[in-house]
Amino acid sequence: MSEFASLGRRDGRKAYEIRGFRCELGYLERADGSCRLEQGKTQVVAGVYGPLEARGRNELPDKTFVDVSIRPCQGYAADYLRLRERELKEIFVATIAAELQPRSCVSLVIQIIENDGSLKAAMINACMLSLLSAGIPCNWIASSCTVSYHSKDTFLLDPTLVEELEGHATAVISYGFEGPKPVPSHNLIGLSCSGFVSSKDIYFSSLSYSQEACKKVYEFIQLVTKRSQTIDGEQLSGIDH
Amino acid sequence: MISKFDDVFVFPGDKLFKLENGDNIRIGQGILKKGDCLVAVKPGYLHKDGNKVWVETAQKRYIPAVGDLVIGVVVDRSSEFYQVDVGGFSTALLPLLAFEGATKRNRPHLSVGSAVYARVVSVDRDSEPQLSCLLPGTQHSWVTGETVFGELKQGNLIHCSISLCRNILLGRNTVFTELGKYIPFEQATGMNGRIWVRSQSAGHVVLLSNLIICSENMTNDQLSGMIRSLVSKMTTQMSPTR
Amino acid sequence: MRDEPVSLLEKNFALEALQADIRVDGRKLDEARLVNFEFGSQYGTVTVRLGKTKVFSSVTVEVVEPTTDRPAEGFVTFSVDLSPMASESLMLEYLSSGRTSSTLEEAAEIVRFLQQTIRESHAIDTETLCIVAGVQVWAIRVDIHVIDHCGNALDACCMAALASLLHVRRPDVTIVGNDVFIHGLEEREPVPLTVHHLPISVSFGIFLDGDLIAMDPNLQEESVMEGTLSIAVNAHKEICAFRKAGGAPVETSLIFKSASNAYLRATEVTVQLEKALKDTYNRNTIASVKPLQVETTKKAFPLNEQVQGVTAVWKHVVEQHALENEEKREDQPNMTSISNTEMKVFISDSEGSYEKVDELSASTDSDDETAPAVIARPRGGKGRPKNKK
Repeated sequence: MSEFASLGRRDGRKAYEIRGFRCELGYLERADGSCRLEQGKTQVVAGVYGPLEARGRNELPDKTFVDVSIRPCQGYAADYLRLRERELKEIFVATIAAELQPRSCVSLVIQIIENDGSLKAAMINACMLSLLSAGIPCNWIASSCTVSYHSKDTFLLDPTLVEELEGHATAVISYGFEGPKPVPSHNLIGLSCSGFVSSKDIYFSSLSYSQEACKKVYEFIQLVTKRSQTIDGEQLSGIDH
Repeated sequence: MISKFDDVFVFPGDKLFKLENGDNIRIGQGILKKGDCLVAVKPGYLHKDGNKVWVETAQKRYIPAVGDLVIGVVVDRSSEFYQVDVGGFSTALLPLLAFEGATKRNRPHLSVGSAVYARVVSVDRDSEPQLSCLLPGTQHSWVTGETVFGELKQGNLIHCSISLCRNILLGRNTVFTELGKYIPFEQATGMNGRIWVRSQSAGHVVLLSNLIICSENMTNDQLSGMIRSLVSKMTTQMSPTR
Repeated sequence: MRDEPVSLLEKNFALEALQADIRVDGRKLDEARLVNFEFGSQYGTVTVRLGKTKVFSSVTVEVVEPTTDRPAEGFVTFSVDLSPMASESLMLEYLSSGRTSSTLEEAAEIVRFLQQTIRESHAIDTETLCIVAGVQVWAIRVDIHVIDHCGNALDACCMAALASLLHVRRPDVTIVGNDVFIHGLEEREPVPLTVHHLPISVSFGIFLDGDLIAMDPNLQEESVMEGTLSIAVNAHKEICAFRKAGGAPVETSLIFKSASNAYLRATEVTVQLEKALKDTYNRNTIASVKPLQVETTKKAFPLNEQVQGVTAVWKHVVEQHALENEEKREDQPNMTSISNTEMKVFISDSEGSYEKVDELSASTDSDDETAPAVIARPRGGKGRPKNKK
C-alpha cells in the first residue's frame, strides 16, 4: 500500500479505521422499533412499523411488502433520495424473512439529522438496529460500510463528507452476517459503487478491508441489541425452572 | 451450532442446531427451519421446554399465540363477531356468544371502544385469530360479573412492552406483589402489551400506572426499594387531599 | 385509519383523573411536560423533546431576489412535515396515499400558527433580512419534522422553530459600491439572525364542555379533548398569537387564567432555551477555536450559492487545518486499529450518552409528587442502552 494509506486522516484516524458509533435504541415512543444512530457526526433516526396489514397496491399474496422512505433534513425528498430508497429497499427485502407473514407490510422511515459522510451506510445500520428492536424476523444481520477511493491507489474506510467529495469513487458495501459467535459467516448482500476505481486489485483489497469493518459494525449491533434486553447485566427474560 | 440452551442470546441468522431424522421438535416464535437446520430469525434469549424451542424477544407489536391472555379493544361488530384490536398484525374475531352462559337472547353487548379480557383460541397464518371469553370449568355466568374473562369496566389501560407483560405473567417481575402490600387494586395483564388496573381513586390508578411502566427496566430488588420509599412519601401526601 | 384504538376505558379514565385534579401521567392541571433542547453540530439544527414528543428542525439560509412589491423584505418560510414515523396512522396514511404527509391539515395548521407567532409578531423582522433592496435579500427556510407524535406537536414545533432560528448563523456580508461580498465562515464570524423576542406557544386542552382546561395535553388526553387553545406568549407578558379553532366554548375567566399560566410557562421555557443555547456555544467555541484560526484569503462567494450550515464553506477550513496536521502524523499501517481502539472508544462513549439519555427520559416520564416514581429509577448502573417500552 502506498504511503498515503499510512498517513493519518484529518480527524486523526488511520485509513482503515472507522468512526465511533453511538446508538440509542427505542428512541421513538410510538414506532414499533426505532433507533438514533450516530456514526461520527453523521446522524440518522430510523423508525420501523410492522408487520402492518398491507392494503391495495402494497398487498403481496405470498410475502411481506417492504417500504423504505427517506426524509432529508432540509427541503422535500429529492430524486437522488428516491434512488437511495430503492437501494435500501432491495437490501431489506432480502434481509427480512418475508415469507413468514404474507399480506403484511413492513415500513421503514429514515430521518436524516446530519450528514457527514457515509450516510447510506449509516442508514442501513440504523434500519437494521430498528428492525431488530421491532422484532421483525430477519434472515441475517446486515451491516454496512463505505469506502472512498482516492488517488495513488488508496482508499479510506468510513469517509467523512469532505473525504467523500475529494475521492473519485465511493462504494457502499453491505454484508449479511449469520451464524453463532465463534465464526460468523458473511455474504455480500449489497454493493453500490459510483465513480471510477483505478484498478481491479485495489477494488478487491478494499472489499476485504470493508468486510472487516462490517464485522465490527455487526458486533456493535449485537452488543446494543443484547444490552437492550437485559437489566443491569441481569437477564431480563430470565429462565424459569 | 448451539448445544447448550440456557442463557444463550441468539441473533437473526444464528444456526441453532441440525435436525436429525426422527427428531420431534415444535418450533415457536423467532425460529425458522431452513433445510435441515433450525435458524433464529429474531434476537433474544433462546428457550427450550420439552420439545418446544422458541426465542423470547423484547418487542412492541404483539404476535398472537394460542392460549395467550389478551386485552383487546372492540373496533367493530358484525352479526356474528366482534372485531377486536389486540395490537397485532390484524384484528381478532370474538364470537358474540363466546361468553360464559351467553345465549342468543341473553348476551353481553359490547360497544365499540370497550375493552375485553379474552383468550386466544386459534391462530392461523391465513386468517384472523379467534378469541374467546369462555373458560372451561367455571360455574359463573357472565351476568354475575364474576367471570375471569369479559368486559373490563372502569380503571385505566396501560400500554407497555410485550416483555414486561410476559415477565409479569410468568412471575419474573414482582411489581404487583410488591404493590399489593400497600395499595389495594385489581389488575388484568394481557400478553399483548396492555395492563388493566383499577383501584379506589384516580390518583391511585395514576400512581400504579406510572410505577408499572417504570418497573420494566428495574430488577426486583430495585423495585421493592422504590415502592417502599414511595409509599412512605405517599401516605403523608395523599391522605390530606382525600 | 387504524391506529392503536383508544378504548373507552382510557378516555373515561382521562376525564375521571382530570376531574380529580390529576393527569394520567401524574402532572397537575397547569403543569406542562418537561422540554429539552438538543442542538446539532451544524448551525440551525435542533431536536426538541416535549415529554415523549420529538421534533427535529433545521434552517436553511439562502440569498434570493426579493419580490417586486416588497423589495426591501426578506423571507421567512416554514414547512412542517408530519413524518410517517411519528405514528401508525400517519404511516398508514402515507402507505395508502403516497407522498402527501406534509399536506395534511394538521401540518397546515401548525404552519399557519408558526407564521402568526414568529413572522407576524415580528419576532424575526423580515426587513432586517435585506442585503441590497430590490436586488438581494436573505431567505430563511425552517424545515420542521415531527418524528414522534405523543401529543401537542404544535408547541413542540413552535419551540423547535424558534430554537433553530436562534441557533442558525448567516454569513457576514460587506457591501462595497455595487459589489456584495458574502464572507466565508472561516473568514468572518458568521452572524446570528436578529430575533426581537421569543414567543413561546403554550397549548391547553379543553375538556368537559369547556369547564376544564389542562395545559400541554398528552396523547391519551388528546383523544377526549374537545378543542385546543394555543397562546403564544413572550417573556414581556405580550400575547403574540392566540388560537382557538372551534371546539367547546370556554368561559372568558378561564381564558384569562390560562393566559397567565401560559406566561409562567413561557418564562420557564425561555430560561431553559437560553441556557441550552449558551451551553452549545461554550461547547462549540472550544471545538471550533482551532480551525477558525487558520488564515484564509479573502474572496467573494458566488452570490446565489447556497450558504447553509457549515458544509460547503467549512470544507476549506478543514482542509487547511488537516494539511498542517498531516505532516505531524507518524505512519503505522495496520488495520487492527479498527478493532481494538475504536471498539473501546465507542463503548465508553456510548456509556456516557446512555446515562444522559436515561436521566432525561426518567425525568420526562412523570414528575411530581403524586407519582415521584422517578426518584428511585435506576441510574442505569453500567450504562445500559435505553429500552423505552
